[in-house]
Amino acid sequence: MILVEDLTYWYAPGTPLAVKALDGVSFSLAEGKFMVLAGGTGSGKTTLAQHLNGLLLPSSGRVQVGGRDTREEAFRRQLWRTVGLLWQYPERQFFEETVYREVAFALRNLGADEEYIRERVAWALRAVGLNPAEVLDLSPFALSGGMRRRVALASVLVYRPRVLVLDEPTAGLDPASREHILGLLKKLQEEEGHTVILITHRMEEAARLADWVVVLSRGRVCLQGTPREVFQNPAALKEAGLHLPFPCRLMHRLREEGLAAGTAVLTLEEAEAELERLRTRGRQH
Amino acid sequence: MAGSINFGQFVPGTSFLHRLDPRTKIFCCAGLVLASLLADRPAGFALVSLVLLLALRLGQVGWRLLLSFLRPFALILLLSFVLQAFLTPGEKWLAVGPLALTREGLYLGGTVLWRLLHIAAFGSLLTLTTSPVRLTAGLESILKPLARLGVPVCDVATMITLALRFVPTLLEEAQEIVRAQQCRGAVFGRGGPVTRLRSLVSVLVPLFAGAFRRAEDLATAMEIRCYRGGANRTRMRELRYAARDGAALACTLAVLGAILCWRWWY
Repeated sequence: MILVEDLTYWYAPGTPLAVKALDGVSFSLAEGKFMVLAGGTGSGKTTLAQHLNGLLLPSSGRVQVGGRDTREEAFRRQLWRTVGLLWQYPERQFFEETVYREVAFALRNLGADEEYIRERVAWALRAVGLNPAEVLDLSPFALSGGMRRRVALASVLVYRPRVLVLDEPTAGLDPASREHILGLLKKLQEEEGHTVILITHRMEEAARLADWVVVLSRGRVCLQGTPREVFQNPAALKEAGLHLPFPCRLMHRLREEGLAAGTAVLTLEEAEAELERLRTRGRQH
Repeated sequence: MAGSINFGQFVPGTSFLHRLDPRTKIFCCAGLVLASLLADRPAGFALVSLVLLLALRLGQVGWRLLLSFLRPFALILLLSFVLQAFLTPGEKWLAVGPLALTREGLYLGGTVLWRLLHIAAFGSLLTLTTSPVRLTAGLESILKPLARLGVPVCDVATMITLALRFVPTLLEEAQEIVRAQQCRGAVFGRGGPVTRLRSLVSVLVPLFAGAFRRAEDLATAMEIRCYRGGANRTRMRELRYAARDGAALACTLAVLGAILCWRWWY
């Protein structure tokens, strides 16, 4: 579905402020998969996200979505409908008077008819856990932070992009809202076959959700693989400014203490099973 | 649009222009802008253009950088040139319907284009090579005599600096919002007037909301740090004229003098 090959991107090329934001980034992602794009601040995550729906074009290398190059002029204009990008702090882009009009914006731009729009808006709001009857006529500026973020997500879901790219969608949210949004993304991927790319620096989220993890550090891919593979390499993760999820960190720590703990654990349940195994084995000796 | 440097941005450096006293740069900039406006013959144009080339060299500012600064003005510049060229009465060269390209128009249009380009270029050079802090210090020092007339010089200088400081920030933010709305299918620069207006609103509302939020944050941040404008503020680096400032001022005066002489005595 998505193919990124040797992607390099310069900001302000040819000026004294030129910065190489991405440097030879390559990865591919099959349709219907869940990818986590991780990295510390300034690692190029957001720049990469903007390449995926053609907002930015590679300085060199290429980006393909569904087999077509994002450089194709005609394709690029349609690309936003295939790849829905949820911006960082998306609620800052609100401008309409009501939640209904805000969520409907994309469909209006597509020229859909009003009845269809109403139906889709109600669906999208319900999907993000809001009651359409309650919020439709409110001003988006009158909502709480968590609700605003959900409305912003609904305004992307509403036109059903096959690929969802979300730039830290849970930044600054309370745990309940965070859980809801992450759960929703996993559900969209598993039940509706969306391809999801989640940008985050919380490795717990990667452990729980991802089929594939790409870790960026200073514009380069420093690690990629399944979560289990990526978490085998705590040193490289630390180098990228990230840390292991708690269960995995615990196992690595036990290993340092000389126990034969398996480090390929992602969840607390797996960690518990591994501890149980260690305990029974210890008793046998 | 993305990935370029915006108008009003400061680019740190150690060139001759960067090291000049900000007051010198403000005076020179004003003098050269005046010279651009008053130049009225090929020799004058050539002289001012030469000074601009020299200044670019001394500020280590490349052509491409300057052009990326001037790009936002391209439409206005082109429009003014075309209007002048076609609407000035005189010797007809090329007729397009009821309009005619005239020799006088071409000359006038060219002159105006040349002037606007040079004014924008000198202004850009000032902000490119002067940090906002030094620019305020310079303005404040220049405006100091007005304090006797009851003008709150320090506040005015701070206001001007803040305004200049936020030009690139706001431009950047506008670009980001444009891209964010494009993600939701907004179309810019195409379609009928209603579509265009709606697209514009979708950028202006978040932009203003962001500007107010920023202004409020800035005011709070300044207050927390006990900022007080007024006569008793001291600076970490006091301004001091050096020999190079004298040279720069002398050059500017010479150019301005030459232009004035040409205009009024010959």
